[in-house]
Parts: sequence; C-alpha cells; structure tokens
Amino acid sequence: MIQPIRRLALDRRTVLKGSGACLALPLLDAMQPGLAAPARPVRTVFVFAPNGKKMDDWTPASTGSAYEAPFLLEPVQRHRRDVLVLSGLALDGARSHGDGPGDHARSAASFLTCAHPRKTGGSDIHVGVSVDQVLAARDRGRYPFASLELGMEPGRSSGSCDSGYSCAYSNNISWRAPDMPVAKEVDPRAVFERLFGAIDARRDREREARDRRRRRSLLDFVREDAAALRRQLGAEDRAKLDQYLTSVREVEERIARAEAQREGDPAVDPPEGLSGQKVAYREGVDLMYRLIVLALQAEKTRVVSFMLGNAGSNRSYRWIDVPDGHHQISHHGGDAAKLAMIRRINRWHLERFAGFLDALAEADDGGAPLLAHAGVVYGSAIGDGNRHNHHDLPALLAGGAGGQVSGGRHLAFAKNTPMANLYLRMLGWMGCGDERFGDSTAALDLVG
Amino acid sequence: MHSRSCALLWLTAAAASFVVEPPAQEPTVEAILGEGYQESIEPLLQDWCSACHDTAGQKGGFAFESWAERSDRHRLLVELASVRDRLRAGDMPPPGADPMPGDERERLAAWAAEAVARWAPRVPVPPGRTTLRRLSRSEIERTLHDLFGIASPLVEQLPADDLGYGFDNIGDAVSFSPLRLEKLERLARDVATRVVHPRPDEPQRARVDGADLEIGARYGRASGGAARLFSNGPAGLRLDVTRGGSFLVRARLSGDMAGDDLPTAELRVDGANVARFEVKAGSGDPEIVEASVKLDAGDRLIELWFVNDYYRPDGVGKAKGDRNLHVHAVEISGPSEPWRPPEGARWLHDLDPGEGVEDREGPLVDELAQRAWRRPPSAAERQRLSALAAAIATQEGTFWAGIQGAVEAVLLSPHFVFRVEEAAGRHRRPLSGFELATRLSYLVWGSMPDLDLRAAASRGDLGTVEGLRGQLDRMLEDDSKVDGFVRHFAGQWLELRSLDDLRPDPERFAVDRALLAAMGEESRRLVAHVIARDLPVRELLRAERSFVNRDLARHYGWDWPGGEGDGFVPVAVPAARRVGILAHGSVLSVTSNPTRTSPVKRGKWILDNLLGAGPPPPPPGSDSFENEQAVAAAPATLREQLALHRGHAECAACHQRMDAFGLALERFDAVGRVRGESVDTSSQLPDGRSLTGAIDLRDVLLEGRGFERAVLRRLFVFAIGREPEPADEVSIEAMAAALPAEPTFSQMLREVVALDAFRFRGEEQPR
Repeated sequence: MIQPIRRLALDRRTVLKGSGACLALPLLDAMQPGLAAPARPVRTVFVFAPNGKKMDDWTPASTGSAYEAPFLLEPVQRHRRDVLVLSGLALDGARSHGDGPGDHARSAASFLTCAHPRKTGGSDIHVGVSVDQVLAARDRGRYPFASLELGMEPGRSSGSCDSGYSCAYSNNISWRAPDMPVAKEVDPRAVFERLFGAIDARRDREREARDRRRRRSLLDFVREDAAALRRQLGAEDRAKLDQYLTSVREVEERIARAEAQREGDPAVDPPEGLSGQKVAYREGVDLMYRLIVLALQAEKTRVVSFMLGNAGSNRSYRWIDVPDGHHQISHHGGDAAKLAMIRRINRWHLERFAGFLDALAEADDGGAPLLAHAGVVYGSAIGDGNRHNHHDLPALLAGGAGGQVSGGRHLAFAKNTPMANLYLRMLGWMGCGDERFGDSTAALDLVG
Repeated sequence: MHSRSCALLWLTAAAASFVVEPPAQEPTVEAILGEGYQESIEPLLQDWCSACHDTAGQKGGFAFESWAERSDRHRLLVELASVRDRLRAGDMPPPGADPMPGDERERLAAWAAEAVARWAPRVPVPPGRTTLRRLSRSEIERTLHDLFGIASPLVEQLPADDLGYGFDNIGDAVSFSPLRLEKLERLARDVATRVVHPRPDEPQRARVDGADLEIGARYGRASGGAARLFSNGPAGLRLDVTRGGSFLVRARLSGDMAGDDLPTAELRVDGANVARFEVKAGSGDPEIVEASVKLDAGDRLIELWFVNDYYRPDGVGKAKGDRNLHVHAVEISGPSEPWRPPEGARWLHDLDPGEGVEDREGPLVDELAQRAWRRPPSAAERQRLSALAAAIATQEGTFWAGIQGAVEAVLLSPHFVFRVEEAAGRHRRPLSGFELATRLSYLVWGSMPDLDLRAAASRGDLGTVEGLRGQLDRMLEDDSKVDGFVRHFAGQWLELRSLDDLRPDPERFAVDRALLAAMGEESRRLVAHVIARDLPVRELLRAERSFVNRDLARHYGWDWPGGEGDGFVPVAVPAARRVGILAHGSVLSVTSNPTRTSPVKRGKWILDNLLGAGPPPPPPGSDSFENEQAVAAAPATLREQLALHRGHAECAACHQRMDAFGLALERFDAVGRVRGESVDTSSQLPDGRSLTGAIDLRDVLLEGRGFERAVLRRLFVFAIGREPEPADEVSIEAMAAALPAEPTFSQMLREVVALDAFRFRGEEQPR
C-alpha cells in the first residue's frame, strides 16, 4: 500500500555536509536516481526508560536459548524468537568520573552517545553524537525525516534538573552534534500531523502546492537573513545561528522532496484516540508506539528515538496503584513496598513495549512482518535506581534486522562491556561506522 | 567547572581593561588583603584552614597559602566571600574537625566580609560575553501580545526550552532544531492569518449540489442530483472559512412523508446543532430553508442531519411507510461583517497608503520590521521585505496576501527569533541603544520595547546609566507589563511554573488544577505587590499579608473574607504563617513528592533559590550513589533516613543545612496545609543552633545579606543570560555593598542595569 520513496538526486555538497560515519555505499546509491532499491531497509528504534529497573526480576538466571523469563520479561515472551536479552552492558560515560552527583542527567545524555557529558549548567554543553543521529546523517535528504525524536514529557518548567547539569542532558537522548540536542515531540497528535498532514483537513492539492511555494519563498528569505547576520556575529553566537541555518536547510530539503513526489502520499488514517484534546500518559505511550509503526511502515523515516520519560522522571502511575513518584521510589533503600511499586511500573512499561512488538509483527513490510526488518533497542541507562549504577544495564534487542540477528536467547557479556559495542554492531548492519562508536571496543557478538 | 575558560577570560580581560580603562586607583592584592593580614589573619588560616586548603590539598579548589601571591583579584574576592559565607553558616571548619572558637571565627569572617564589601566595588570587571539568546516560549507569547494584541495556541506547541541555571532564556543552554523551525513556521502562519486578511472585503460563497455532499454510506446515497438520507445521519461539506463571522446557510430540502411527524433536518457546525428544520415539501418540489450561523475561521464541517427516521414497511394504515430526507443543494455565503483586524494590529493596516501608490508595501514592512526586530531595518532589508511581499502578492493575487507573507517572514527571521547583538571585535563595545532597549524590555517586561523605549533608544538616551535608569523607573510603573517580570523571573526563580507539572496524589490530597493555579497566583500576587509598593525584597519572607481566592482560603482552612465574590483578595496572615512564600501552597507543593513532603527537596529549594548556595563541589573520591549500597538497609522513619545521610561525611557538608531547613517546614503537608497531628519541626543547624519551626527558619534566612545576594545573583543570570563568572561574582558583591540595608526590587534592578555586563559586550575570543 505504500509507494516506494522516490529518491532525490543529491549534489556532492549536500553529501559532504551530511558527513558522519556513514559515507559508504548508501550515499553513492542516493546519488544515482533510478538505481533499484535494495531489499527492505532496516528500521531502527531506540527506547529509553528512566530510573532503571528492578534487576532481580529482569535478568534471567541462565543464558542461551533455554533461559527462563523472569517476571519483567514475561510480556515480551510472545515474541521470544525475535528478542535478545543482553546482560552485562555498561555506560561508562554515565559514571561520575569525578563530577559528583548527577547520574540521571548523565544517564540520558550518554544513553545513545556513549560519551561522558561535560558538567555544566548550560555554558558549554558537550556530550557526543548519538547513534540514531549517525544513522540519520546518512538518511538526510533520502527520507522525509532523517530521524524522529519522540518523548512523553516536555521537560520541567522551572528549577534545576539534576545537580548542576543543564536540563538539555536530562531531556534529550538524541544529539546531532556534541553541543546540539535534537528537540523531541511529546504530543502524539502533533507527531501524526507532522508525518501525515493535518487531521480533519480537506485534502487540497492545489492549496498544498501553494503553501509549499510560499514556505519556500519564506525560508529562502530567512536563510539569506541568517547568512548575512552570521557575518556580524562572534564565534559562539555563530555556532548557535548555525543550528538555525541547518534547520532551515533541512526543512527546505523536505519541501523539495515533497514537491518531487508529485503523486503525494497515500492517505493514512490517524490511530484511534488521537482526536481527543490532551492525551494522558497512560494512553499516550501506546499511541506513540503506534505512530512509530506508522512512520516506519510508510518509510517516513527509518530511525526513531523515544523517551518513555525524562531522566529522573517523578511521574506517578496511579492506574497500577503507584501513587508515589517514580524517581522518589526508585530510591527504594530495599523497602518492600517501594520495590513492589517499581516492579509494577517496570512491568507496565514492558507490557506496552510488547504491544509495540505486536504491532511491528502485524505490520506488513514488503511481504514480511516489519519486525523482521527492525532493530529495536529497549533499555535504561541506570541499572538499579537505588544504586545509580551504570553497569549490568537492562537491555533488549528486538527484531530481525533484515536477517542479521536471530533472537530467542539471553546473552550475558563480560561485566562492563560497553553499550557502544551494541550500537557499533547495529551501525555495521547499515554499512557504516565500521571502526568505532563512542567508547566501543569491538562490535558486540550477537551470534553467541 | 569553569577554571579553563576563566583563565582565558582573565587574560583577555586584563588586556581590555588596560586598553579601555587605564588602571587608576585599582586595588592591588596587597591592598585587598589589608595591612594587618600577615600578623592577624594568616595565623588564623594556618591554624584552622590550611590542613585541607593548602597548596597540596586544595580541597574545594581553595588554597589560602598562596593568597598573597595571587594576581587574579576576582578569584581572590570570590574566595574571600566564600570564607565569609561558609564561616557564618557554620559549615566550615567541617563537622568532625576541631571546633573553631566563636570569637576567632567571627574575626576571620568579619575581616573577609569587610575586604569584600570595601574592594569589590573598586576592582574593574570586564563585561564578558553573552551567547546569542533565543526568545523563550513565554517571551514569544508576550511579544506577540504586544506586537499584535493576539494570542496563538500554537505558542504552546513549540518544543520546551531547555533550562540552564534555572532559566529558559540562557543562550548557551537552549538549542535550535528542525522541529522548532517547523513549529515556528506554523506559529508565524497562524499569527499572520489572524492579523492580516488576504481579501478583507470579499465575502465567501460556496454552493454544493446535493450529489456532491459527503454522505456516510450507511445512511444514504447520492442519486438524481440529491443526497438521499434513508436513515438518521449526515450529508455534509467541509468549508475552509478564511474569515470568521455571520454566514447565511441555505439548503434545498424535500422529504418522504411517513408516520406522524414531518421529516426533520438539523444543521450542525462541527458537530454542534445550530438550527432545525421540519420539511413539508415532497421530493418533487423541494423547499428552501435558511439559517444564519456563526462560523469561525478555519476548516469547518457543515452538515445537515436527518434526525427522525421512520421505517415501518409492515405497519398498518398511517403507521406504514418510510420517512426519508433529501438534500438537493447547500449554499453558504458570508460573512456579512467586513473583516477587521484585532485591535492591537490596527497600526499595520493604518499604515496602508492605499491602492495605486508606488511601493505600497514600503511603510508597512518598515514598521513591521522596526517593531518585530526591535530596531529599524536597513535599507536593504526593507527592500527585500518589500520585494518578498510584492512577489507573494503577485502569486496569490492580493496586496494583503503579500503583507501576510511579510508578517510571516519577519516572525520567522533570526532577527525576531534571536536577540541579536553584534560582535564586539577586539575591544569591548557599548551596546547600541536598540540592543539595550531589548535587554531592558525583556528584563522588566519579558517582552519587546514599547514606542517610548524605542524613541529613547533612537535618541541615544540609553547610552548613560541615568538614561537607562530613567526608562527602568518608567517601565516599573506599568503593572500590567511588569506582570511579565513576575511571571518570567519570579515564576522561574521560585519554581512556581513547576506547579503545572505537579500531580499530588488525589487519594491523599483534594487538590485540582484550579487550586494549583491559585497557589501560583498567590505567590505572583505577593511578588507583584512587593514590586508595586516598592517594598524590600525580604518582604517575600516575612509578609503579613497574602492573597487568596475562595478555594485557596478553604484549602488553608481560613475564613473567607471576600463576601460574595470569589476572586483574589488580600488577607492578613496568621502569625505562625508570617514567613511569606515559605508558607505558600505553591512553594510547599513544588518541593514535595506526590504522596508526602520531602524535607530534602525543601531544603535544597531554599539553598538553591534563597541562599544561592547551589550544589557544592563533589566530595573528592566519591562516586555518587554507588556508595549507597552501604545505606541499603532502610531505617523506618524519614528523620532516621536523613540522619543516616548526614552520617556520611561526603553527604553531610550539604545535607546538614539542607535537612535542617526542610525539617523546619514539616508543620506543612505536601500541599501546604497545616498538619492536624503534632509534628516534630525541630532541627539543628551546622553551627549548633536549633530551629523550632518556620519562624526560626525565616529569621536565619534573613540574617546578613545572603538572601539579597542570592536574589541579585538570580537577577544577574536572568538579565545577562549567563552563569556568573568569578569576575561577575565580584559585580554581585559590589551591588550588594552599594545597596541600602533592605533593598527593593527596583533598587536591585537599578544596580543590575548599571553593570558593564549589562551595558557592554566584551571583546570576542581571538580565534
């Protein structure tokens, strides 16, 4: 039902600007319009869960294919063949390294970058490029959205986020450059409209074309404004303005693509529950997962990051009898009642995730389930919320990645194996980043 | 954290102060330390401090031994200020060390205090540089209000501004992304359609044949040129209403009669019933019905619903039959009123020189840019805007469509989105009048400059401290605009905005959104009151009055003094609650967990916001919570848990004071009510004094000038847009020294706007 994406010819300048670790085959392929599309692309999704897990209910006692699923992993057992349980992974970047408290901010900042964030309240934010953005760099100009960044919480409205760390670290897992987090969208309806156009609006091709023309003239105008302004600014200001310029170019490219794709998108119906006003967290998580499936299936993008909560989220989950704040009780101090609540939150999140896998398995992607072409990472950057440890992290890899992974096993790696090794392996699937990513030591061996 | 950048800054700063202000009576390090330093002070430091703070240890980054050989006077003064504060707070020498006799402690503290107060104002401070600031969501909201008198719901759709140093307007901490640009595009579009109409005089007219209406397949079908509804359901059309107002809807209807009633149609707009018609005409001879309806601009769904279906194929006599409704055509025309711009956008329309005038766009785009970009546009910019407007006008067929495009372009431009300040080059430079006007208006109003301020800027009045202060005084008079300061500054400083994020457990606390909003309003009203009456800022911690509405009075368990009304009224606060914002539901709630109070959060809130103590440097060798395994076996009560925290040497430095402050507020529950049960509110400060509750806490917070310095520091961050560097800390000390004993907000702001950091832009970093 989905039209194949028509590729835009890219000029060499665009290619060089895109850069990143993925300069290999895919871009060459993009420079030759009309080249036959390869097999279905691998779609990657990274899901971040805040505040760690109750690890004794997570880690299977034995490894290999005969592992017995502990309580928290029960929901995903219906996709057991497509899920790898990965133990022993660590995020060294999230550790303090002499910077003192701030594990939550560091955990989100390092989750996909595998880098150590610079401790600052704002003046010189710096962490690293996240794995999703390395992949996105390759897709820029080839897909309507090089990547999607989604979340459930906008970020706190005032105060400080975590022990002297700028809120940028707690609120974002996707980093396009070491000093440039990518803002996430937290409103499911806005996500749908961004991908597929306004809900309820009458489809009017003529008006769409006129709007695009107008947007192009406006963006053209402001790009010139910014280019002229750039010359009057000091170095730091210029770096900020460059983020604006980059954004203008990217949106311009997207409009150009839409124009080239003359027949337009097929209409996509919004998922149920989207038309309401404000979506509650409880329904919102499922909606976001459904939107991710829609986006991937329609090849609007093939890279998604999703934060179930911001780092240190103190949300309460009343519908599963957790009136206390998640962060508050994650410092359980061994208290049985708190541990029971943590367990319920963890389980609820895993049930939602299993629902996501259901949808991926049901979605058709060129004759096979979309799940077969997906590589989905689900994890936390803190192990036990009480200890704030960044090793023995909870991590799952779901999906067949186009036949490059086979699930159904629990793989336990040596303690402190960098999470970056997993990402390096994933980059390898896409033919990029074959040397290093973050603090990687070698691509993770998933054959076992 | 900033030692690297500081060293660099110091080098460049030294060069600049040499060029711009030749050192006249600048104090030397020797002068700052004073004449008796070696005889009377150094021995004290040797005895009490140098075991840890020697050149080898340098705990907390301090090494007193080298003071006499220092060249960095800023750092020296900052360290002296710290000695003053830590000694007076009693947390140095640290717990476990030999206690320092009171007289020696006070002698050392008094010496440091004196040196800082005396010399901070005389050490020149480089202005420093502030990174390009982007308008925050709330600044955009107010700016659009002042620019066009409108509010757009799309402002809230902008991605949240990442906070830095507690504020949303820190250039370094916020970023820009494609998502933000897309949201800005939509916002600009929405604003433009609200303030300019492409065809202000032309009514819209739409006529749709019945057969072309949208009919739900389950209800009927199109045949013979009409929509034929066989069961209850709609036939409708969507109309893109370019201009809201009164519309005439006319429809040609007929019906098949059966049963007792006539076929009935309802006219619905976006699902809401607006008119009802009983149809007498048979299908051979339709009748015309009409109704006048209000339609808002935007995509509207207009439907005719068949609402009384009747179907009795096997009935007897009159009861037998099939009632149906036929819609033959629908015609909509309007609005009957001419389009009028919102009151606040009239100025733009009034500038139109009229058709046929050459460069008709010119005067409009010129004023548009002046206001939105907060400075006059250059000739080239003006020309480009005119050209853009003309091009869009040609494309879309009307002059006003072009102006609409210009409005969008101006709002999307980096000159609107960012608070642009030109680079300084190799020497610092005074900010231009317009740059200063912008700094001033976003500081005091959270919005763009008004006409007066613009005029002052172009006259060059803002080039002097007197000129700036003159405008400041005028601006502070406008209560409705100062509301911007209250919401932006106080809303973030006191974390009132976090009330929006709170969800107290409904099982325990009957607190809804309206009540949380009222709590925020109470605190904002107190701040506004203190500003409007020019009362001392410390009134916020000792006010004898507050402002409540009916809900909030009930929440606090107070008699409602407001009679019949239920708006906010001033009330006298019971004596036990005369601790200002410390007893406000707002502050007590944002520092609590959903189910219970958190003395730690409350203590941290006080340290951060009222004392500006901030997070301390990490204890050496501590790897944060990984050590907490040792604390895993949890003791029963909160108090015991806290005691355990303080037992850990690395936690104690901070937690001792934090916990003492928080525990003193335990009288109040997690949503700010006085607890019924008896509560232990006693606690002990690091210096051994005990607190018995909120009143004691207030008195401790108001000792000395720590509170005022904290407010000044937050004002600095908010006004200048960066974290204070050591040199800036010297400015903050200098301001504190220059102010009277109990300064007001206006007095503080007068100091802030006089700072070089506010008036100048420092030289750029050499490449």
